[in-house]
Amino acid sequence: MKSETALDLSSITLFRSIPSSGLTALATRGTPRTFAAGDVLMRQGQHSDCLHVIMRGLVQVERSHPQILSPVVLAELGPGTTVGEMGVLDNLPRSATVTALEETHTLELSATVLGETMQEYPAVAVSLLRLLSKRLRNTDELMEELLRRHLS
Amino acid sequence: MSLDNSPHDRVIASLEAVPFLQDLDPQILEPLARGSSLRHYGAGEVICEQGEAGDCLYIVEEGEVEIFLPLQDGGRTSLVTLHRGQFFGEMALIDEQPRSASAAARQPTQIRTVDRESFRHFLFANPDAVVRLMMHLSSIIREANRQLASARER
Repeated sequence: MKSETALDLSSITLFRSIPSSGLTALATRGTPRTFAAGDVLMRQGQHSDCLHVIMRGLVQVERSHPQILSPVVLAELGPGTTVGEMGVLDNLPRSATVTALEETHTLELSATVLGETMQEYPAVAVSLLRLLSKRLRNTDELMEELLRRHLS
Repeated sequence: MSLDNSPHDRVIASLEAVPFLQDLDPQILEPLARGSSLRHYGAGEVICEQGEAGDCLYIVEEGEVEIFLPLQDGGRTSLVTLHRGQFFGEMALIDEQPRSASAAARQPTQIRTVDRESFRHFLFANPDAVVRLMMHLSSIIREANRQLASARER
């Protein structure tokens, strides 16, 4: 089970720079989790203490707002991406709710494990930074689309 | 736009004014300083445009910079105004995608640039600075998501 996880981790872009010995260590220190379709991985407003690396499956990221009835879908994310990294980085409550759309396998990493991994393998930190940047672009594009629709 | 050569100490001081570069050993900033240059822009002058490839990080040394989205009718929507010590242009360097927005000087403005290679080398050598940069991006994403969710209600 553990070595299978290590093998899966090697195909995740975020961890590409980690040698196999490091991946084995990471797989051991993380917790494999399985979510059925409809299960909630994390809820907006909750305390943040871990992130999930999506190994298999698909999740939906959505944010609710007190004045609107239906939440805004921010993204659908699949294998190789992470969810929950923002809360781990800035220690603020979860900014969105993440729900599994199909059976989803993740590796749950605590803030401590992530911090140590980034110190040991700086390239992991840079990859995570790249992921955040992409996420911000998605948000910007949604915003731009909304803005143009609003103005036209 | 024009270039000039600043005294070394001033370059370091300018870098140290940037939040994600604060409290680092000045020696760590050396490679960034070597990859940096100073540019002057007049009021209204465009610094970079949405869709361009990004080749440097911009740090506001003096003046005021407007980050905006160009609109099809020739107008623009302002996203944020940046002042001394604030930076922009980091996203295109991080993810190697085109510039996501345009920037223009709102008044006579001095910008310190750091070239792509120096910035990338610096990131790989300094995980602490990377984490700070991530926190910076996280806070922008949080704010943008908040605005997005509340904009949908209108």
